[in-house]
Amino acid sequence: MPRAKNEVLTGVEIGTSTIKVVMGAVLPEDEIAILGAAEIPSLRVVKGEVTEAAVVQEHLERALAAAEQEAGQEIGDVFLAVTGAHIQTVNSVGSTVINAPDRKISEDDVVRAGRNAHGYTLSPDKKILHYFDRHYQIDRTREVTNPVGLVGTRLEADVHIVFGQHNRIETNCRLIADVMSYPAVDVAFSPVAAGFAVLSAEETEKGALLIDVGAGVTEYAVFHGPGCVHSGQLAVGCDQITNDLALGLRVPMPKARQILHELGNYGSAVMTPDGRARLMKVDALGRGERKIPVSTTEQIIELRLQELFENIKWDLESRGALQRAGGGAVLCGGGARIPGINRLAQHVLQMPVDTARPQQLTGRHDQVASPAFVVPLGLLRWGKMMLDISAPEPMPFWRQFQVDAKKAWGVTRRAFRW
Amino acid sequence: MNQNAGELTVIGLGGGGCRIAATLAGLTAGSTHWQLLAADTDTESLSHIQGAQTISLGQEWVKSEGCGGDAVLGERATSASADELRSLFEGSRMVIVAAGLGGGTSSGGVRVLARLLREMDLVSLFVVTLPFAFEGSWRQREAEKALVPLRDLAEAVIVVPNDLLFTELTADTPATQAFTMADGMLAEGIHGLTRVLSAEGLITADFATLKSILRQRQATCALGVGQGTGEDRWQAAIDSFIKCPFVGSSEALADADAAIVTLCGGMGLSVGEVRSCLTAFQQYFSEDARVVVGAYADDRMGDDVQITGLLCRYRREETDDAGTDEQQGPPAETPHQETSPKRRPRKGKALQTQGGPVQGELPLQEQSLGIFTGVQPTTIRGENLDIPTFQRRGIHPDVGD
Repeated sequence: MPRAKNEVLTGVEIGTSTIKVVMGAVLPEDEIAILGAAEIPSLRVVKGEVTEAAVVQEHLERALAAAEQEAGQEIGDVFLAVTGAHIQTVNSVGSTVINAPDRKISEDDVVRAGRNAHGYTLSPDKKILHYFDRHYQIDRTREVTNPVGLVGTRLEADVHIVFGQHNRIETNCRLIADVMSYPAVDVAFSPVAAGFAVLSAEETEKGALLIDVGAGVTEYAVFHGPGCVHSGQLAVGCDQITNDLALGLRVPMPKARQILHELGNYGSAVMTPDGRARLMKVDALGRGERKIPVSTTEQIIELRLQELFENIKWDLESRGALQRAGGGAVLCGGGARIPGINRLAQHVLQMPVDTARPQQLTGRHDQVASPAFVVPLGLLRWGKMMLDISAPEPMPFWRQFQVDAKKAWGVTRRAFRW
Repeated sequence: MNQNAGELTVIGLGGGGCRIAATLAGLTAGSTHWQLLAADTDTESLSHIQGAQTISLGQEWVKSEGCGGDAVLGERATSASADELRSLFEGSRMVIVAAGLGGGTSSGGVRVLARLLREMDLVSLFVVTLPFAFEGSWRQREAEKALVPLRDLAEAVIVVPNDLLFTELTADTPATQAFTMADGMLAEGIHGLTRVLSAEGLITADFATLKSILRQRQATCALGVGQGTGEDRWQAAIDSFIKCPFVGSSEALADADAAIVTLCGGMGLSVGEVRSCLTAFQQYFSEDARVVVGAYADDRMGDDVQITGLLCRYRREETDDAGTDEQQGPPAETPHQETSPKRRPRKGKALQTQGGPVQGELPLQEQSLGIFTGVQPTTIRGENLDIPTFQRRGIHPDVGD
């Protein structure tokens, strides 16, 4: 059975603050037609990782059901984003000597160099999520993106490898499998997916840095030329800002969260010059009302975000990826909504910074057009690409029947549980 | 004759590696528990080697003349002979590669070997020397260039800077003797290491243990040899092990995450004696270190005893996993040991730098975790990022009281 032309894909992100689900189809022009979307606050997810499966599973079920209801269609292929402190990245170089008599580089040599680079030893509890070709080098002097047909003595492939703890990735996959009765088609590291949603082909070609400031984890990825040349994560996000505010201003967490959400009404992430003079009223813990200068709040937020960007910059610099982001940086995730964060990032990273906007959306996209939804959106485009690469082998009819039966069973089971 | 026969292959690569192989052949004369190979591009020097199987590499590339220090040529020559090497490694479970980096064959060849061994999925251990400073900066640079990719490709790399030997050498030592010493010490070390596995030993470690230690990603490995004689011979051996130029000091032992130690004595060696030595030796290691021990008797030792040891320090980012997954506690008989001697000074230092800038004006900033109490901390370069930034920077926000 050939695949339907505009197949419904589903992107799922189990985030620290909310679970986001987007259903849509990728149209031939690379536009995404949004069919349905849902965002449900998540509990028991700490720093991007599930800590209590039963609770998260319930919320995930609700989110999937809400998206399905809005779309009026059944959920099809699910793609899942993963993140967390366990995700690590490494840049590895593999080389091969060109043994052909005419020393012309063949496809085989490229594959061999790539395989040598992929050979980076991992302990068995790790699982590789992505390999990206960064570039090839011939004789250690020429850097090219496609070496086939060129003449050289020695070919080096430079690849970027993203890997994580096998069991923690599996935890998320199992949740999807338990809810849907069939597993997620593929898993992607969230900034990689986000890049597919917000960066146009020209921006990628020129080089761009994407920073996803989430609630629990901040991920970043540099896209340049053919793909992702570097990525990473730092388990620091808006939760840390809120916690800093709660401890610094001595207010309860919900109040701190409210202060951060309403920051735009009185200040910004970059300290304003007259901040000391303006006062904001805060209910203190058991001590009546206090008046706190706005500058205090701003300072706490600024220190935290500045440190976050400095750490990202340090990593990018030490891995030689900063200069590849020639086109500037885009911010996404919930943290991108903090007023003044762009100016702060610009100041630290020394490059133009903008808020990410999802590219080429049609359909019911009002809800998902915010920077918080880019990861599940990117999963759709990424998923489409993965299916195109791996697919068109038609399934034998009995296998198709098996899958359909499993799906039907899942639907009935969920209906009953409701 | 021996159940380990053929399981272990030692290969000397390049001029320096072949000298080590030749020394090893002398040490082990007649023993068949391993396969000893010597590979070089220079056929002339290979013809002098006795007791090891010789392989001349990439004859169509170098015309038996050696590489003349050209690492790329060395790499091509070695990869041209890859099939021959592969067939020789077939059937081995572990391969030890010895090479003196800086030369063409060794600098280029180690990469090819590392790749080959990985493809064959064999446990590999690279013992490489860095050239003496008097050999010239060009060789030094070549050696360092070869070392960088090797660290990523190989499972375990032992780097022995030859210059460290100078602490033991007097100024009037002839250069040839310096080389002989360096080769001799490495050969002893490799010999000791392999004897851990040898079935003739009094105490042996199984292959899986050795494998699990070597398969961790290593940061630094050091190989040491110590000898003792006379009344208090074990203590003398331990002392000389610690003073061995490649080990340096007892701190190297305290910092080690794992160690493979071999004791060797004359035919009269008793298990009780070995035990008392090990108890004394283990005092130097930290509590978490995983120490694998082998002991054997050799009639050539006479009344002398010898300790050889491989000390490994894992890469720091891996320590969390290593700590939880394979905490194979040390034997209980390690009395009144200093608990983690390396951590204590660090804490004190952190407090000092914390208190430094604010002293005199403000009290010490308290540090709290808030909602992140009990959550796995996010640390980067020694800082716990879950603690509010302003607290770590020693800033006291104005909260209006």
